[in-house]
Amino acid sequence: MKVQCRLFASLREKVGAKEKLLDLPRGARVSDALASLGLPSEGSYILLRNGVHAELHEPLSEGDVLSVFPLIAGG
Amino acid sequence: MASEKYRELMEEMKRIGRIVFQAGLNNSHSGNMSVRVGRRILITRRGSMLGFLKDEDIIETGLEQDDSGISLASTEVAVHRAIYKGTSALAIIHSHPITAIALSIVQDEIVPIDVEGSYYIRRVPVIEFEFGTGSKEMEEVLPKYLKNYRIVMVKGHGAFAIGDFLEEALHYTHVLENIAQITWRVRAMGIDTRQFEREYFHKW
Amino acid sequence: MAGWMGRVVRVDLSSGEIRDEPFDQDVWRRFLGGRGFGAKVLWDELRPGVDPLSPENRLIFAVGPLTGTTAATSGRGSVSTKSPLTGTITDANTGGKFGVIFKKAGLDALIIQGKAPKPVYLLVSDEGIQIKDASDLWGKNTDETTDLLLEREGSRASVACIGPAGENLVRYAAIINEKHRAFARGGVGAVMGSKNLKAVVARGLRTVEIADKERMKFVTYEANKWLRAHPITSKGLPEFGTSVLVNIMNEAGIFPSYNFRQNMFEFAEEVSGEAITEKILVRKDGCWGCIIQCARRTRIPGDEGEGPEYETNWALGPNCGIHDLEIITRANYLCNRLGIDTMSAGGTISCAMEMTELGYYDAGIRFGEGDKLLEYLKKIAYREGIGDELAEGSLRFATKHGHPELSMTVKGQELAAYDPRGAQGQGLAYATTNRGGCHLRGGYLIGRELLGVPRMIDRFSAVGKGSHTAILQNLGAALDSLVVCRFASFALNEIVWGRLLTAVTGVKYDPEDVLEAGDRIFNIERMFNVREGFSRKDDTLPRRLLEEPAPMGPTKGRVVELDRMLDEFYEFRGWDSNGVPKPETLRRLGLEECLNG
Repeated sequence: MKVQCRLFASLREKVGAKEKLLDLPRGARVSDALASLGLPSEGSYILLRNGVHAELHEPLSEGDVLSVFPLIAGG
Repeated sequence: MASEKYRELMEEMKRIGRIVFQAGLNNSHSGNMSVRVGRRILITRRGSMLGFLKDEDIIETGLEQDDSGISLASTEVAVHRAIYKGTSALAIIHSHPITAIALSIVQDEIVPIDVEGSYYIRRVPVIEFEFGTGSKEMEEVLPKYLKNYRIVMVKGHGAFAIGDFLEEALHYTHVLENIAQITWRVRAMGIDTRQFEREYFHKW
Repeated sequence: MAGWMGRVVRVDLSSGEIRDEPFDQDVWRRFLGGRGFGAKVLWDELRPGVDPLSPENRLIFAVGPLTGTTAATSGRGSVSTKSPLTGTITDANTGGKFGVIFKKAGLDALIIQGKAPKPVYLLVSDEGIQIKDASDLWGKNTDETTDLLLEREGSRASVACIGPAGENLVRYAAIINEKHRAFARGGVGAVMGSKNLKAVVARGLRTVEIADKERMKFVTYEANKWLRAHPITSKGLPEFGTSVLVNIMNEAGIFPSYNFRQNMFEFAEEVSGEAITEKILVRKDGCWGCIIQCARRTRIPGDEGEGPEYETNWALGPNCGIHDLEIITRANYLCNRLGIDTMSAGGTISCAMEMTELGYYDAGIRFGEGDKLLEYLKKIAYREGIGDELAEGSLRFATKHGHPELSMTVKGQELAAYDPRGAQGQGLAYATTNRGGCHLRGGYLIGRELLGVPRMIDRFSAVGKGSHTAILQNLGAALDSLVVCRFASFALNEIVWGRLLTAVTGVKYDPEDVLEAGDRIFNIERMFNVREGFSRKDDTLPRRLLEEPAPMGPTKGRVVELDRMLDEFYEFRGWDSNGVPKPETLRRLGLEECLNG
């Protein structure tokens, strides 16, 4: 299944892209997506699946958009 | 059972309760925990299994007084109330971590000797009470200590940890037990651990 | 005395009298400093209903016990007054170094009242305090004023001054220090202008006495270790600055644009922290003694300065439908020179844009018109043409033309860059701030609802938000009084602040004492507002956020469920159902002065 990954801040340099379309096996989880991006799953991230906070073990679906941020703040 | 509007918090209590049990911080039926929402408290039912909480194991009651199902709530509900009234805590976990209890019997404070432990906790005071559980004395004394520490030990009994979130209280509880285990293992090698309690931890 | 300098000076600009006030240690222990001390003075001295722009109003510059010490992020200063924008109590907090130099001049606070017969500036130094002529400075922008005063008073001085906006009593005029830093919100610059006070210049070399130096060294070391280890303060903020938030807020569907008509912005990427780093960043910068270095030194064709920070970037950009980073940055620099709060300026202009678009009133400016934005900022500062109306803020402007609902304000102050329809707690926080629309004074719930610090809570749920909001408001009030930066609190909790405060002052502060001081400060501010006639009816949000479902993305279909949260909030705080602190609450906090009011 296809999952669109969007990367932000320092992760762009780490992965070498702003966006990546991943082809993952059915039943893949958020952590699998991170692995195929080459991001260690024990790192600290803010993860949004279709704009809503997601957990590492959460299963993904065809057509999902996964936004991956490092821990950030501001305001 | 608590009102359905507290669903998110109830699920969180189940999740954290499971971890507390699986980590061996409580036995099958020991310990209790609660969260505060405004002037309401959600607390685990007396004698419930924290590792396998069901909806009906979570009791809703008032911050000031008993107004619902109180005969079912933990016997230590009065202590929880006193802590909420005396501190800004939004969550409490009362646990019985074995090694930390062992240390509390023989010393009057627990000071980490490992790096990770000292990162989160500088010192855990051990408080001694004449009567073990749910006593008036505890209601008076515990909040005073918890104004200054996120986690305290009651001698020979167990730990009380507070936080804005249950997960925070869980974290402190876990760190305390790890500190105790490390201290105990070093002592098992026949070495006096006091020498590793870096002098500066007492400045904290 | 340790921590505090032990000196409060009162200046009456009408009579020219300068005198030392008795230093009441008990007041400083209870209210800490900065914002807390300001609130106490305003409660004690201000008659209810007083016109904020009259000589009677007070303008209180104050620092705190941690200011200028080795404590993390202690390079800040605070000013308090009654706001000409909201009619509430207000305080504004600045970075840079002004606060530190002010303290090194030997002062904890300066209470300014009256009105000078002609333009003056105040020199506050360790050699004395003087009222000096500023006739030649009147009309000059903040850059020119700063340069001239540094030339006159020495380059070691620090200048906090107003620009044309403050002189012309723009209701959201700021006080600018070191050219790029601002006591930004609530119209503190207009109060200064109403007193004919062009600038406060600080100069001094005194040091802060530390009660327990050895303990201080240790606790500072521990605190800095945390700041260096925490991913936000060690990487997130320094690497991309505060505008790194643009993309995440947009992805989550809570990045307002077009005066909150949308809750996402189609050109977010172009104004993101990533884009700033790529296109205009010269180097990182930071406040006095700070290790975080979140400020951005930037350059655009023909100009150089600092910013834009996240809120500014949003207010002058996406909220006005503008996505040209160069124009936003230019507008930011312009606001600094004119001495205007970027957030209220952007919020007022975006309101005028929507009025025009909807055909309610032709303000002559539409969404996306960047060049006109620059022109309108000048019109506002000089109150020229339509600028005269816009200088009154969006609520007065929109009300005058029959559509108050298009003013995205709380208590008359423009909101920040988070759409609360997708962050319920932030909605409650906005509604209950003591200084009107603000993401900081109300409690930065975004930390818990979006960023997961210290833990993630469900942003769509209204349950439990009252408690979290109150706790964050109390902590924030304490930090603004110490005076330290909100960003440090991503890594440091009240345990650390209590230890620092104890080491510096020699007065024992348990962590809960810090929070209780914040609670006390928040409540005396609330009592000030209650005395001015504010109550539950004012703890509300623009109609759009309560009734119009968010139109886009993950937040689509949601509104703020304010009433539910307000009840829980008042109960947690010990206020009655009308939002008035109960006598027993005031007694618990030791606010005896508020009981007989």
